[in-house]
Amino acid sequence: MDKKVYENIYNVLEKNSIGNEKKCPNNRKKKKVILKISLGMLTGLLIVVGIIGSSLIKLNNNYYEQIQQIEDVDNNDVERYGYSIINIQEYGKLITKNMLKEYGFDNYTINDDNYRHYNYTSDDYKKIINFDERYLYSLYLVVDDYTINEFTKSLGYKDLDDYLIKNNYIDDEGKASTYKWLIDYLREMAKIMNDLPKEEGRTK
Amino acid sequence: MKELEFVTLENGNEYIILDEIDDNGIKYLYLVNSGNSSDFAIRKEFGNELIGLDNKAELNRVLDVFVKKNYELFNGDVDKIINNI
Repeated sequence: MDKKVYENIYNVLEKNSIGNEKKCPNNRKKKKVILKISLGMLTGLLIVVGIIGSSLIKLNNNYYEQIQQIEDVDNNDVERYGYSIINIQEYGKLITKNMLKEYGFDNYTINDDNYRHYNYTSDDYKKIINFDERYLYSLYLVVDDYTINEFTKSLGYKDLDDYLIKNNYIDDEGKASTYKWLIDYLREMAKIMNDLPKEEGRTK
Repeated sequence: MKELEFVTLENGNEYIILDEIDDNGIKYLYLVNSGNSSDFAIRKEFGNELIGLDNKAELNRVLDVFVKKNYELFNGDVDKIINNI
């Protein structure tokens, strides 16, 4: 779907949801129905609307006002910050893209899923000095499976799953879990963004 | 065929309860129009009533809460979510 479609859905959601004059009895009823679209798809749709809606409100403002909001809070609990996942993700993605560019990794293609495929091996990435592993999830959001696996090999792991398991990002069955990784990443990135010097935040 | 919960809002339209989330002691209902999958609404419980949200800040906050809760369905990958719609 085009981004415009999500924006329109967000606008309808906003119109439908805001206003203390909106009142009705909390009378629920259960019915058996056949859905044309699954609940999973509807949930996915609202997730995208939430993310895009959030970005509409927040990223269209001066981005550094968001940095200010983050600086204004005094703990690292992502849930309490009131800024969106996309703020954090976009910031992290920008940092990792810039890092790869600075090291001369500019030979990449963009695949059908909109991920970057870098034509390099783990040996090539070893020239990156002191990579901050807290940004690895940011890189994961930018690149394809081949690239993230090659990159994690350069850090001394067998592949991404090996990284996840060794860092205890595992689910109840002991399998590698990117969800656990995501939560930790959000917290770490919140700390990073919170620690940004004000002047740096405003001049980038 | 699935059994789902519905509410009828003040506009007369019937909505499916897609999710319910407690946030800071308030229960929020995430709704989708049973006849129009691009018509979403959010309400909060207030006594025996469902009422609208106060402002955009509350809307975006509870949307973020929803996103975080349901993110793992798509392994936290926004691009994959978009591609799955």
